Amino acid sequence: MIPALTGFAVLILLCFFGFRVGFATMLVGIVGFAYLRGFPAALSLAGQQIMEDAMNYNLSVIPLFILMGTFIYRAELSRDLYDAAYAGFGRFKGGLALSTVVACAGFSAVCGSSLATAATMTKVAIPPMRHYRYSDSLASGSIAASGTLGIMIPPSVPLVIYAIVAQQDIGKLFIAGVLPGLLLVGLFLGAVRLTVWRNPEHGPAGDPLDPEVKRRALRVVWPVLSLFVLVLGGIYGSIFTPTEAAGIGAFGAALISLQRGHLRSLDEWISTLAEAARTTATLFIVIFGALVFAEFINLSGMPYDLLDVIDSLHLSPTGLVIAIVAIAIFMGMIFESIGILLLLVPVFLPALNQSGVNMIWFGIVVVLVTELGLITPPIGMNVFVVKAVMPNLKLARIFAGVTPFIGAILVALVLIFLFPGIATFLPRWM
Amino acid sequence: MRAFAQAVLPPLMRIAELVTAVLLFAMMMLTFADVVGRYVFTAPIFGAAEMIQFLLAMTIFAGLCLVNARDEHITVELFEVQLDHIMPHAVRRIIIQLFSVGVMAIIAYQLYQYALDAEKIGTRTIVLEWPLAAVSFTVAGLSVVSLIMQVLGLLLARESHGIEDLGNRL
Repeated sequence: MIPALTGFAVLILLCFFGFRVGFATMLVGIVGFAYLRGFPAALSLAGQQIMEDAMNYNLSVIPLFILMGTFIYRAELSRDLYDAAYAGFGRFKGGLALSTVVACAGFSAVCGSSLATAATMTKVAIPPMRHYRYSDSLASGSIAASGTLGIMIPPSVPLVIYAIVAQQDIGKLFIAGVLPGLLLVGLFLGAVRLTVWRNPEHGPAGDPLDPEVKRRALRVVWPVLSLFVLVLGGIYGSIFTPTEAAGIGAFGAALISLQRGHLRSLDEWISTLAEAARTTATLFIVIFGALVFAEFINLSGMPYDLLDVIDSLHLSPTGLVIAIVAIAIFMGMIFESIGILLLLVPVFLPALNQSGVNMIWFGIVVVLVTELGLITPPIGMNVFVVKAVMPNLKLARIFAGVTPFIGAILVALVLIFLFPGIATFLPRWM
Repeated sequence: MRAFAQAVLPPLMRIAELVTAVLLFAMMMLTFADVVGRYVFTAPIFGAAEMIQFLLAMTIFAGLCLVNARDEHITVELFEVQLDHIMPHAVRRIIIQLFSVGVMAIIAYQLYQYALDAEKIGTRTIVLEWPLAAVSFTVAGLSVVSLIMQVLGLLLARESHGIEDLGNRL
């Protein structure tokens, strides 16, 4: 286990220094493999691994879902989604924050990125909340937290990556994410209500919406809902593969964008497509690096040494999962979501399989933990995104604002442990 | 050198944007047309899955040209402030960039080796029977271009502001 642990330590140090995560992971993987098998083998392994992953049909789902999200982002749906949610929730205490949660959930249903969700919603939801004198902490906290719904409510890029690393069915994982996603929405709404119940001045009720605005806003709900049902329904009914669903989803998202007056010039098409390709490339460099690194870790025998350790500790399957969750929470402080999935899951894969842990359920648990990592200090990517879009917000206020939502995610985690059916019920019928 | 990079990089970026856009668009349309063909006309596109595989590899490495040129890679920004106290920011940046260029060079070289092997063995894809070497050489070529663009980007010292940029570019 020594070479593998050394590899992890060196990798973390390199990342701390600022070396690009993908390149650092790749190099540590190559050098580690070379230490065990020699450089020629390590180098040719790297070439082969990169080329095979780059041509892995299952991975083609990633650029297509990213593209779908980019089209949706360009469609500027967030304004109308927010108004539509406001029409339903605005009149309650904390109504604007409640609307933010619901609008983020709607956006997440057609976009697999939590950062995109947080970024687009910040622009739309902060100004009205300021207008109604909402506290900055509730306003920004509700957006940063609700943005994390993007990776639980399908389509979700992290769920795809988990599926590939853990060799699970992407479709089943997407369907498994639906109920936990809804549970989170409910708990987030509860967190908002709790906050305004304790401090009513944090979030007063809003005024009723102008009927014309309301009518226009509600019109956006149908295309979004239809696209979600088409993509998810197609996967659920095994009408098409996840890759095909992503292709259709991207096409539908482009139509929505067109219908709303965007994508009307060639330049706009090129920049949107190139943007999606850039996001894809940044992700794949990390994926390539992590998969080469995983070859080294597997060769070092660490995953199997861990089996012995777990045996000697007499860890129950639940105990094992709790231990992994603890490590994942810790890693969430250093790496962002993709890094956790790619580095942690392969190490524990044999142990999890041997303990008979339901890997679909475990995927949902891990993604829930990465959601936590997106809003907890010191990294908390979503918090930074909200801050980047609204630079005059204080970072400390945003972190204070997400605290009730961190509580909500922890409650969701406990509930999913106690009632695994929340994650496993729907995929069972596929 | 800097003037050279200044003159060459922008048109290269424009071409790379165009190429990635065409590749990704083709990928989307191909999956869409394949499904519509299958269910509406009971005529799926022959070998669509293999074409998508090829498009995926090319999209990634064409996109990498843009990412490398602007150094938009994922980083851990936990100790930025502390590190800037220990070592001048510019020095650290150059070390980081040279590291990236080095690893990228290894990747490009190994992809080229892979392509040479594929050509020697004469591997063909199962359904379309296309030579694997063709796509491998294309991908290796793209990775070389991305390496060149990475160096040009380094010469221009164009710094991505990481997370602060995110809001604008998502």
